Amino acid sequence: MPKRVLFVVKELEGAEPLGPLYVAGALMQAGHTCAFIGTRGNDVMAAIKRWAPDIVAFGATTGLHRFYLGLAARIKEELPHVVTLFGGPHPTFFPEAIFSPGIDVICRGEGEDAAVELANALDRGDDHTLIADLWVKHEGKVTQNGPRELRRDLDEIPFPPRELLYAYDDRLRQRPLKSFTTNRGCPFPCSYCFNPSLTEHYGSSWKKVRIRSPENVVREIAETRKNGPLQVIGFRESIFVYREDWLRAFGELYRKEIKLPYYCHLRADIVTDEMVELLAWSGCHTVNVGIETANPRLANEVLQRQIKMDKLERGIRALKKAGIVVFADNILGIPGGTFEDDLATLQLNIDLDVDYAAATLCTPYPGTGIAKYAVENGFFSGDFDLIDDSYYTESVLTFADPKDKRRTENLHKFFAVTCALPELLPVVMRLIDLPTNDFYYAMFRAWYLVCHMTDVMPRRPDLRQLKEGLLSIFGVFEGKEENWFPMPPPEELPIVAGKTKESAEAAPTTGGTLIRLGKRAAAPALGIGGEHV
Amino acid sequence: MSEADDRARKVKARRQKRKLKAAASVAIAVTAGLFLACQRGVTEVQKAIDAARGDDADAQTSDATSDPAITVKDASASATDASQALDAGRPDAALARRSSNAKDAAVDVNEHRKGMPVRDNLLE
Repeated sequence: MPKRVLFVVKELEGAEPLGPLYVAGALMQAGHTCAFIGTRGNDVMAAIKRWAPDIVAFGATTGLHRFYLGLAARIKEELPHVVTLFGGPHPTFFPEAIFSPGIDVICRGEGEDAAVELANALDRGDDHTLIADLWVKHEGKVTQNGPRELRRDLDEIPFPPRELLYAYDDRLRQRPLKSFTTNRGCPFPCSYCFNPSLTEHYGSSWKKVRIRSPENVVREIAETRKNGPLQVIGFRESIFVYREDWLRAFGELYRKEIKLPYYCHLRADIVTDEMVELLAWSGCHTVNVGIETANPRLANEVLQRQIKMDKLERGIRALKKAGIVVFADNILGIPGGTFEDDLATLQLNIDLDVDYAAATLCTPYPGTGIAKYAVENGFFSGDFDLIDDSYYTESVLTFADPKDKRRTENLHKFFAVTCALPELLPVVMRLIDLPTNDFYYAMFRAWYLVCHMTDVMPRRPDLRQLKEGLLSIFGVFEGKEENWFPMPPPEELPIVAGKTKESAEAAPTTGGTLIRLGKRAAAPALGIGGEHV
Repeated sequence: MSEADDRARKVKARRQKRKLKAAASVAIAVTAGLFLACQRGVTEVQKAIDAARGDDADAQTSDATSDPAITVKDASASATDASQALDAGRPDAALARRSSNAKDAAVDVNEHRKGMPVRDNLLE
């Protein structure tokens, strides 16, 4: 009998969870039944009991992992027969999450094929412990399997079944902005990003970018548009385009069949003049580029960006000249940097006339090069449980001077609006010395909302969407999150080797290796990857 | 006017508009900051009163910020009904969240302090 798989997604109200949706699409293609639920304003345990799934799946980033591990433990307590499957960035780069008592299976990397093999094995009553990309807890031990070969043809993967989101909350259908991806993989080694860690997991094949055909991408967008309003499109892969011929072919189809403004991510140092013209011609409204820092030493030695600042600046100026809105990502509080570096980064954004200067606080996600650097140089303890689910609140890094920590965190809240209105800078320089307060957060939210609605992703929200957005600046939200359960301490279990990539066969049991998962289990030391762009 | 001039004019106009919108955002943020400060003030005063009375402060103050009780849907809705609804492409009654209701909206300072407006979350 086909398996029933329920995906629980915290913050379902945000951008579509494309990773879990792709997995659900593959499972449905294999004949299994899938559904999605959110958590805010929803009694998750009651919903799980009503729907009666065989498998409950979560996709987690670090920070949110605490929520899911607590929830999984509660699920196993009340419904021990349900298999809990934990995928996404956190378990990919910190597979020791399997030792948390509520988790049965963790999936590392792309989940489509592994999830289908797992559901099929459970369906047939076969051994489900020897599946590539999975670590499986079964009968008191953990089987650790190696990675699988990556699918090279992304066009074969079913489109994300967005109707599952709409079945849960029809307001998600009404959103005028919807997200898509055109490729997977990235050749760059940036130390703050998840991609190098996936290279570590999959080998160099992760660096060979796999690109969907323009026809396949445009068909998905057209189908999505049939099922709900669509005013602006967000392409959410690491780098939207590498080749001019692909962009030209995509542009021809896109202009003919879609003709909507779109947003995408690029590295400004690799865009050519021809690429910029093609982007503007094809309908690109906004490009998200990473400036990250104005300090070339931090950019190349700490962040490992392999970037020339003059090329970066030239690329941004070319995008601006073509009339494209530039949304820049920046990282504040980089270990080894100073507060003056952060101010220089702000000034660079002002000089380049960036339309929205987004900033995040440098966060050492497990397995990333930046986490390794931070631990080795005494900027971070290695306790990943300290990482918050948002990188917009406080830094987990140690600063030489606590005053600088406060100033950096406060500058972060004012960064974008000061770039838009540099006349604020003298006032901001005074405000950042005060304790962080709700006004600072409101400032961050207000400018984010206004700029995104009107410039970055221009759209015509309906009255309800507008009201929701405005109220959120005032901290007013619909529905409360009431599904927090305590995250239990990890268990001590023996691990055995499963499938290896080379042999794709079961390796002999190594027997009895005991892993202790303490709070200080530092992924970099174990050679396990990281996350987040 | 050439295309390049037209683009330059657009970029300049956008910069000017951006400044105005940023100034408006500052005004909204000041208002929101005051509102949230007052909310916190109300909560703290209530806590102090409850402490003086010897009541359970947490239980009392949570009323000021929390939602009405979550409505648990009819637990008898069967799994079969749910999957049939999904197959038919209709909203799944067993899974559908509570309907939009103004009474469900409440101040959630923790959520507010996470950064961006929830439904506009693109950066994560």
